[in-house]
Amino acid sequence: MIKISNLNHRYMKSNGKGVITLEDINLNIEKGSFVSIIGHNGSGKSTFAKHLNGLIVPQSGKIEVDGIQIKNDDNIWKIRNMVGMVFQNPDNQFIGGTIEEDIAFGLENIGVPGNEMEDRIQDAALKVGMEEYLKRPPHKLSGGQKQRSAIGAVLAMQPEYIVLDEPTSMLDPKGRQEVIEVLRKRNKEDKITIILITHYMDEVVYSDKVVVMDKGRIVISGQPKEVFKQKEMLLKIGLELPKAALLQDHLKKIGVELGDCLLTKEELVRKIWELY
Amino acid sequence: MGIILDKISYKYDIEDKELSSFGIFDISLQVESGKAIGIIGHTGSGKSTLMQHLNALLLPQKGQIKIDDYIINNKSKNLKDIRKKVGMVFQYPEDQLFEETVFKDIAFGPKNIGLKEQEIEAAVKRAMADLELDYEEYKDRSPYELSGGQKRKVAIATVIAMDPDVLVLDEPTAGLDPKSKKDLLALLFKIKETRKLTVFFVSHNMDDIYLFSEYIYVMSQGKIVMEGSGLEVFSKTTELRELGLGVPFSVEVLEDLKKQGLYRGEIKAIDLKELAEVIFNLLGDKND
Amino acid sequence: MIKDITIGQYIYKDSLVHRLDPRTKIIVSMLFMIGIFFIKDYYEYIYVLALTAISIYLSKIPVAKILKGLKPILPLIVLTIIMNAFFTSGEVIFQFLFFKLTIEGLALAAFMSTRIIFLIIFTSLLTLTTSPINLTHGIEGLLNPLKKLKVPAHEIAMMMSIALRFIPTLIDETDKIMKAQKARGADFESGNIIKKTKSLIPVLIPLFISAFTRADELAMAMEARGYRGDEGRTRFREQRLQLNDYLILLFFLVLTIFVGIRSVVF
Repeated sequence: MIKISNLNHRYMKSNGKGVITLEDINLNIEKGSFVSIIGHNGSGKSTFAKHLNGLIVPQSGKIEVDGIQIKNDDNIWKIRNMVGMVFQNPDNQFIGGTIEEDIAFGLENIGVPGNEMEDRIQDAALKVGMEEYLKRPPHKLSGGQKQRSAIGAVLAMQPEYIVLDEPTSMLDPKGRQEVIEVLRKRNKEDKITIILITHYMDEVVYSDKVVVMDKGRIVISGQPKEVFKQKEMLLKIGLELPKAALLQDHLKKIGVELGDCLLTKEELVRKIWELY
Repeated sequence: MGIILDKISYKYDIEDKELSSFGIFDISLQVESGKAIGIIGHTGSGKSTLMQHLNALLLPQKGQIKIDDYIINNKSKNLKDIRKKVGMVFQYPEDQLFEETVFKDIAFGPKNIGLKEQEIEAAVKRAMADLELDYEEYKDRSPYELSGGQKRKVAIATVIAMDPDVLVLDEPTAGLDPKSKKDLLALLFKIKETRKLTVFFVSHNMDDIYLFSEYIYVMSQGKIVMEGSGLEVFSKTTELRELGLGVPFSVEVLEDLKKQGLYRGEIKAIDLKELAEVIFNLLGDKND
Repeated sequence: MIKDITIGQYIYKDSLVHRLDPRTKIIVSMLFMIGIFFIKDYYEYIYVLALTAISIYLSKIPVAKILKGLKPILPLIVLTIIMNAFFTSGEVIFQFLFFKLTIEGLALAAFMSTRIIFLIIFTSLLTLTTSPINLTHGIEGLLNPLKKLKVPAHEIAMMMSIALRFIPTLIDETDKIMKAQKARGADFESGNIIKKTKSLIPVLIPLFISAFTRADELAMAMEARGYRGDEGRTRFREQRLQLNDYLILLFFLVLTIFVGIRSVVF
């Protein structure tokens, strides 16, 4: 479990003014769960993400990953091994000249013996469906493929948690779908904890927990259905509702009550079928 | 007046067939001035290549393009006139900002096309007003210290300030958060109305395409494979899916309802409000 | 135009040359460079041609790809030809002011430009058949003995491999920014050299800014994946010289020494 308590962060602007980016964050991330963090650009979600593997060390407050506190000490390398991270821009996290070299990069860093690497690379590539592209250089891959191999590179390091900072925001719909499918599958089959930062609402409806951030604070947190019930709040802070929920709203206005908050097209159709 | 593409082709000089974009082939189309045209197709279908022909960033190897009185073919010179006429907003346009101040950056285009000092100032002011950027507040600020959404607006203003007749928007909202996305699209199409622009709108978001385009072209492998109004194009769901494209939400819902035997009408793209009414009638029918 | 640059354009094939240890290929390239300077007679290029042709054949790299790599250095070849043809004393065929075209000059021009062409072709085989990472591993391997002298071999290698990895990305980016500025009416073609240079500012500034952003994000991504320099690092595909490597090294070494001695003795 990742345990975050009373986390604060501020940074100094060039004019000497302090800007608060995170304020009093308290959150528990259960092992094996799929947690989504949403918020508009500048809500602090990205800064928060970088705290989870010690890329930013807490200024005040505490983060514990499976009982190890994130501090500026040697444990930080252990933590980075436990908490993998995938970033937004697929190009700027591809270090190797080919996919296999890129996956190998992380393994080299953590001192995996050379003769074990081949197997781990194969295994990781298979898990993200990139096994046929191992010899390809990054500029011959689509955005979705690049992000999938970035996930593969992290998986090869066998972390317990993967934090993804808007991994789909630069992808086309096909690439987005590929990435989300890979994440859901890894979460289900390998019980890897996924912490997904996004602003696509349809990507979060399958999560176990949704955390909504605004101005550096957690404003709502809970199961998707609970979170998307608070429509006014979400709209006020510049977020959207999933389309199914929006449609449900329109139906409500003309007198069709569909009950609980609906998040997906499938739920919606099933509900209509029940009413029919 | 309008835009006529007459059998244009452009092939990239690349042996590597795996590269996704390898050109466009024999494309003809005709667009009336003042229309909003949606362009859809998966990544590598030739959309970007086609769009770059509209302001002569690429010259057609075969065929010709006529925009009002201008003709673009493989021998075209004096491209500045055409660049002034057709504005092009690339993906992530903020990547092209380079001046010290917002004013200077927006003035870059007008200056290049030879406007006089006073005209430049007027053009910058008007473009900033169109993008809802306060002139006094922003003109002396560095574009680099703005937020993502504001940067994007400045970058679009740099194109609008050249006062084009035709505007090409290539995924203008990519990477923005939902609210900024919605606001920016609404703003852009407001500008289209007030400036009476012809707009080519490239997007992967089928709901946006349906909402904002009057006519849609679907591209695949460098060719136009389908065209028509939003209603027409989005009724061909099987074909669209074969091309790896999505459909608007309403189409998906109606399709599913039909599969369940709940809906017997025509599958078409409509907005959420209309969709709600269809469902309302559906549920009402059974009570009769 | 910028897309013609062959450096860093690794082409994956399964060939004997590809499988050689990068250190072997680097040393062979260096020996070739030394050896070709010992060649004094034109007809001896037949042997060089044979050697180069066999190497290309074994590498399975299409000849067209290799010839394409010559395009960017064409100006250099032309310059060599002009310099040698006009500034060598000898029997004058044609004179214009103080430029004298001589028979000796023409012969020398042909000789020198052939040398450059062979040099480029042979050394481009190195980058065409060795992935950037392998190439840098090779350099690192060769520099390794210097680590005791505090030469940062690993850091140099890492910097080079990242630079090579980003060449295609930066080329694409330059292309994109140039197009965007052209669309805003920028003109890169007309005017004198000062105006042309100035017109590149709107391309260079965005390019630099994005390069810094990239560097920043890349550094973060590397750190997130546990990179902390050479410390405790293992190697993917540890390089070990095979029999092939030894044979080829020996062949080129003997050949170079032979050509060297011969040119000194005779």
